[in-house]
Amino acid sequence: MKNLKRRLISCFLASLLVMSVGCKTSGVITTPGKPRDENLIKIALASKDITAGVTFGIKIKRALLADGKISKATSSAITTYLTKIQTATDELAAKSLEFDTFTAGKADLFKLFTALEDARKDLVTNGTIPGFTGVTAETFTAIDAGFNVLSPMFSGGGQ
Amino acid sequence: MTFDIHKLLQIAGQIATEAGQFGVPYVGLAGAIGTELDKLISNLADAKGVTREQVIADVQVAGAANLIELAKDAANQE
Repeated sequence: MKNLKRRLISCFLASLLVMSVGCKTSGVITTPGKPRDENLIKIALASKDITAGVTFGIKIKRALLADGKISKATSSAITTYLTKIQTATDELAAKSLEFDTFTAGKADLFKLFTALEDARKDLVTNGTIPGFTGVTAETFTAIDAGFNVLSPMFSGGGQ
Repeated sequence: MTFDIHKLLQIAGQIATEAGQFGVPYVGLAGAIGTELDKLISNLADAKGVTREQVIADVQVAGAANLIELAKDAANQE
């Protein structure tokens, strides 16, 4: 029992280590001559997380459909939601490149974030696969990792 | 010589797991090793990092690939 507890603690520490690296912006350098803006870097990294979540979501969706565990209608609905999320993510990432500071682009970026947030709500509300919440939760975790970074930045709206 | 951040993290995880079997003080030590490795990784990334423009370029490539795959699925499901 004691040994199990130690193993659990050590696994938790290892997980923390992996998570702490995933959240940092220090791996991103600034283009010479441009100001460093942590929020714009966060948008780039969050877009990467969300895109990885969509990639994973496509694989899971296909596997479940092939196994006959979800209907074509459910698969089709998830395809629509994932397409909306990816499109909104691409637009947000591309728009962020037009600005050197987050403050300068916040109003425009907020509009695109809102579209992305709506697409995510659709997926979470309507795209959950009954009986496979554990599997879909992994997809949502990857997508939510990006949202957890973006949401505080836009918590005050576009002002 | 290429630097594999995922391999390093895997090794760090193994160190923490193995050290955990020898008692709480060693778990703390493993945590300290993890913290220092974390700093090392950050410094290495800073020294040889990518720009946000490069990150977004990667996102656009991966995003386009996702949209192609989703379009294929949509076509097949109709």
